[in-house]
Amino acid sequence: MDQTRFAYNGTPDEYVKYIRQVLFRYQTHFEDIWRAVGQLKAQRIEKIKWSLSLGGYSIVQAKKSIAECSFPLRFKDGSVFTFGQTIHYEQGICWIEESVIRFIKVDSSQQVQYLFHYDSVMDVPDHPDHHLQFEYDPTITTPRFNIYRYESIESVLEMIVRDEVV
Amino acid sequence: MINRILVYNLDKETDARKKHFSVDKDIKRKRVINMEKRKDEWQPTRQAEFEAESEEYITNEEILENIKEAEQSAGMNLESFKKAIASGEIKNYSIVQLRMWEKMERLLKERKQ
Repeated sequence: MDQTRFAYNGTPDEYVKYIRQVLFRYQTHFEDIWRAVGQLKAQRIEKIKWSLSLGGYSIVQAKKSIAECSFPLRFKDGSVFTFGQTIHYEQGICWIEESVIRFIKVDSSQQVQYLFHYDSVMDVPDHPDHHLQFEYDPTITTPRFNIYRYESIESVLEMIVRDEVV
Repeated sequence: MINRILVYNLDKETDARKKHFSVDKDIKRKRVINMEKRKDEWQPTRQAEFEAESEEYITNEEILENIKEAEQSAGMNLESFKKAIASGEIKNYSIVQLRMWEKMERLLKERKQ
């Protein structure tokens, strides 16, 4: 299996601007895109490390209610999109080191129907590299995903919209 | 904008592949030295690159905010969350999210010291 490293040719600030543009491309599907991009956090945690997060620290489980949680980026049906990434910035290039991109599908009572996330972990025992992990009720139609390869924020959004799950 | 995205495939070399594309050790060593040299010589040239160099570090409030976000959504602190994973109570979780949370707790500890 190929190991993939994803990089952005620019500074962390420029990468954030690019992510904002990606989100705006799907603005008709989101509830309040302006509020969401305002909460996109890019924080320098070490000399050459940045942390990028949009609700990325929030942890939820299937069949739990998210009524009490505040998520910045919501689709019009109430479903949630979050991501968290660690960036290694060196010589003008942002290397995406760790990445988790989550989609949380909720019903009308804010209950989590299913969720999936793309993790960019590597070399973890019993854990495939760059995997997709999901938790869902098999009777529900979910998006078709690519497994065992790296997916970007842009491509995950494409899959969600393509499969009309929001 | 798309042109700025680079995807690097790092093939795990198989024995057959290694044999086929065997590179002289000296050449390989020289390449590494050249790469290191380039790394040392790199200097920011654009305004955005200068700004990135002098960007401020995460504040204590921001660290606490990130930890609060994780704790509130999980309904427990990091220690309990790890225990719940170990006991099998929580099965589906993101290793990256867990690492990010751990990183914030570690940063907070370092700042306190």
